Amino acid sequence: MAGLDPKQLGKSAESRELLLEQFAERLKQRGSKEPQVSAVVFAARAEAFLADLTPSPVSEASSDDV
Amino acid sequence: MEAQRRRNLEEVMRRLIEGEVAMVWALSTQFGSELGRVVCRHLRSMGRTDVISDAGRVEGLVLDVAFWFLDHGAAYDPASSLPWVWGDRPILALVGREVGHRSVELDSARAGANVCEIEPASTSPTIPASFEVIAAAEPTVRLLLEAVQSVGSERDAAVHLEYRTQCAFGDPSPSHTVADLCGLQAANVRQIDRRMRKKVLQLATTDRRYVSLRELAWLA
Repeated sequence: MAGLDPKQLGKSAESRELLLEQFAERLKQRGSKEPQVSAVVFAARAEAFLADLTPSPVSEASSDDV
Repeated sequence: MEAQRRRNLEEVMRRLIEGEVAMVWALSTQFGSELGRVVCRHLRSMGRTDVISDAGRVEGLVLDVAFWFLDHGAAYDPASSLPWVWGDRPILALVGREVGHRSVELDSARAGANVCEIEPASTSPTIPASFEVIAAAEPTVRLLLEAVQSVGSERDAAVHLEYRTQCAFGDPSPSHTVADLCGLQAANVRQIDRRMRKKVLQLATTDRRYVSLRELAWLA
């Protein structure tokens, strides 16, 4: 999968920023009035939720899963 | 998949299909590897390796898949199967819609030189391979497949089987999914399915070999 390291999707600061931009763009397409703000809020909410779950290692799925 | 990670996925999916938009982010970032693999597999099958090498577009498609579950995942049961397995066909349709098939600029200087005399590829849908595998082991499925193939064209049989399969999987918009897969309108898909069911039921009434099919919920 050249060009994409999905294990890093949204993890590094740069990847997170790029993904946030795309997230905001899609929220805008869905009618969000403040897509950038909404994207940041949703991402923060998701990250807080994930932090409350028992930590799991970064994606290491076997090819059988896919 | 490790048990705790699987439980996390179930929790994320449960909230996502209930409409919690934040879970689009959770799914994309925590399970982007799995979703990315499925997306890339479909891109490869479409010959779109150019898109695979564009990390931004693949990431965008991963987000689109997560949004698809938000909008269409109501029938998905997080405890029953992995979301990218359950949604494999709709994900294929989504990827196809977003990127299309590889196209090449027409070279006008060579356009009149008859350099391309290849017959266009057939886009007619075919019977899903999985059906033939199941039919080999399961007499009822074999009989159904035989009946379906005997009353309709290859295309109609494929559309009917795909449509009924999507219904059985709980796809909320089966006609749209099959329409995308087969290059038809959703109304055509429903019409073909109706016609095929009617013909198979008629066959089951008039031909004793197929009488057991009359009780199948598949044809209801």
